[in-house]
Amino acid sequence: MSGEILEIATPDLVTETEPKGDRITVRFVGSAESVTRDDLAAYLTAIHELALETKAVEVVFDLRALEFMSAACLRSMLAWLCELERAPRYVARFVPDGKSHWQRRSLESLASIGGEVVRLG
Amino acid sequence: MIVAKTGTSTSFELSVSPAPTLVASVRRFVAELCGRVLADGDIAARVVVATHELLDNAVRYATQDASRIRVELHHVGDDVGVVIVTKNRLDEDRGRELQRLLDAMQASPDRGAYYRDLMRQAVARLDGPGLGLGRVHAEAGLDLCGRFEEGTVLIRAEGRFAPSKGPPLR
Repeated sequence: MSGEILEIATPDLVTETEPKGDRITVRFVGSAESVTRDDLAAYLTAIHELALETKAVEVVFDLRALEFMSAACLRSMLAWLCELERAPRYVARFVPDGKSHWQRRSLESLASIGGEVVRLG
Repeated sequence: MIVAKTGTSTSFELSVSPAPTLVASVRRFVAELCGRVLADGDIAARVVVATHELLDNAVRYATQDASRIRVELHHVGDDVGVVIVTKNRLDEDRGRELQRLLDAMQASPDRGAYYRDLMRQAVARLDGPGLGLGRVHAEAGLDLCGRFEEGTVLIRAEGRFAPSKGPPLR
């Protein structure tokens, strides 16, 4: 766990953040329910600031332990992606659970908005 | 709660008090149910996403009382028919906003393009039902319509899918 990031630790969702070299890896564990939306938005803002401070070239989102993400939380992800797209300093790479149908569709949706700053897989 | 299995159909109806935390419990129940009655994980995932977003909207914007949800799964030949209906009380302003959204959704010739527009709009808005319903329409692939009567809104999502023989629900 990093010293700079306040992790999400709700009954539904836990984050594990690992900055290493020019990469920050984020692991989502649990489910991102609507009630977690504000926590997620604040967390993503902190990740963005950390990426800029450390001059990270990539932020990796490991979603293999993510059961579900609500549209309310997808909205927070979208806001962060749009902020990144306005001034691209690093790339966001999503590592999905390869057997999750909803993740495949939702990540394709995010990628369609995120453009060049989003990588899948 | 009523759960019924008749011939080639399975359905259940549930009344949920306005507690957002219960939405996840219902979603997990639906995932469990779909895992038992649908062999196709892709269709099951559509049902789970749609159930979550429709109930989340119903619970979040209900003005009073409980929100109701009914989920029906029908085996129609080789296909699976899905019907999800939510019913809740709603104030007039929200009702008009919802009607405009559903009208625009139905009029859109391209689900993906419409959803991308909704996603871009959602970034500028902290709240509102658009993104969740757009997800039901675009990602779950269900058609949506609404009926508004005397302060009550009934949202119906419906689709028919050919099994893909893909892996089970995840």
